[in-house]
Amino acid sequence: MIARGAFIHELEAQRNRGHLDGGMDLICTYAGAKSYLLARTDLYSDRNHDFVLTSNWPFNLVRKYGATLVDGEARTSEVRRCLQAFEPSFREIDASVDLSPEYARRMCLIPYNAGQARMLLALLFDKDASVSHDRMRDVALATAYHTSQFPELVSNNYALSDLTVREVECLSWIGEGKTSDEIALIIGISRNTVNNYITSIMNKTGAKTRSEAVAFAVRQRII
Amino acid sequence: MAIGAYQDAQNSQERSVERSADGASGGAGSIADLFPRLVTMQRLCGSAAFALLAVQAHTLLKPGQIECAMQSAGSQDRIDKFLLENSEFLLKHLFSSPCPVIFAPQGAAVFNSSPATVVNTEAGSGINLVFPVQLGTMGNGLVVFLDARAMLNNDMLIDLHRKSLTVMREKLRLAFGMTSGSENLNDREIECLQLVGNGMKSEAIGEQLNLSVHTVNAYLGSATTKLNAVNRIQAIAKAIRLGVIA
Repeated sequence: MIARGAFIHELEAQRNRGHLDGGMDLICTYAGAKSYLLARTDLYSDRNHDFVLTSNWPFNLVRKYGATLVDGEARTSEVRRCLQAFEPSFREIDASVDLSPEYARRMCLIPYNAGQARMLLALLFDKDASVSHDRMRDVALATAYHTSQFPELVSNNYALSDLTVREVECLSWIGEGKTSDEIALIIGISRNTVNNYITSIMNKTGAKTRSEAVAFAVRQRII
Repeated sequence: MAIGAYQDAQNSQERSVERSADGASGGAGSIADLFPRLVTMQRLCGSAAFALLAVQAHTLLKPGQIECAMQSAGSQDRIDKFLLENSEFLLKHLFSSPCPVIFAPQGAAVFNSSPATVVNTEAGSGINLVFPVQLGTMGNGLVVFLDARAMLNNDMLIDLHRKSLTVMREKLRLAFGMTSGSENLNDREIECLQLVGNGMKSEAIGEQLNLSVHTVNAYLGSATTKLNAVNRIQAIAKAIRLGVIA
């Protein structure tokens, strides 16, 4: 078994060489895992799989599970999500999922934050692997260190400046639970103007509802 | 402090809190319970002063803000001075990188191949360590150790960073009045819970793990207590809901 200090040292070497996947393989080895999936939970979309950043999971599993995992992560309440950040948890793999018998039917989920990105590392194990909860906590930090050095993974694709100051102002009042009428009164513009701002925000952020736009803004630290 | 001293400090710490994963023997009952944990960490890195800093995120409407939540006795002036010089950098770093920061004078013997960000300071100044903790929209902060004398290595850095995460998480949990439990389960307890959850009897678990049936029952008992459950069945239910076992 590789020692923790040596693991961090070697991971750093992989990072210096710009080897993202080499580092991920090393993390797997340290964790005693068979394969990994790394995803952005703040970029979840039901339209495509762009939120999966890198993975050597069996492809059918990525297709079936990737979206469910990341969506589930995105729907967790904010306090709970903060308390779970960098904290490993285990989940049973659904019986309906076709998985080669050499895999254990439970996975380890590690949500973490790196820069402006919310990430999720999901690990699969060998059937007979013994998994150390303690090591998973090292893995959480090590993965954060490693992936934060690859700007293409953790950069914020949304330019905050896309939203105007007025739009952000409206958005922050919506986040406080105010209605369009109230916002109009507060900032002294007409109700229709407020609604126009909100429509424009939803267009820019690709949100379908106000709630989604507010959730987006909170996750992106706009409000 | 040399490596030997560091290991001594670590050994004595392990003796005093055997069962815990991150020096967290039982969840903190009040914010004051975090203080001894920070003192333990301070000893590990042989530092002269520590501070636990809470950080409000920078948004378009509000600038970011650092607030000192806790500090070692008599270190107010040093902490204030450190923050005055570095708060802008630290705020930026916290929200752009999870890596620890080492402030060290140019040419000081800082070890190679570390994930830490190294900031050069003027000659003659001490080595300062900063561990950023970004839990999400809340629970963000920095754990600072000034004038760390211990010989730094990657193992110690990740150890201190893990403890920093635990302290910030406990702080957030206390703010929301939640009790912990799952965090302090050790690997054996989790293993036994998992196997009981899979439907195995204590005897069979003992056989598989090469333990006596009494030891298995003892692990399950301590797990039940830690999870604040009335019996092992409730302990399993709680552990699954908490994601400790699958």
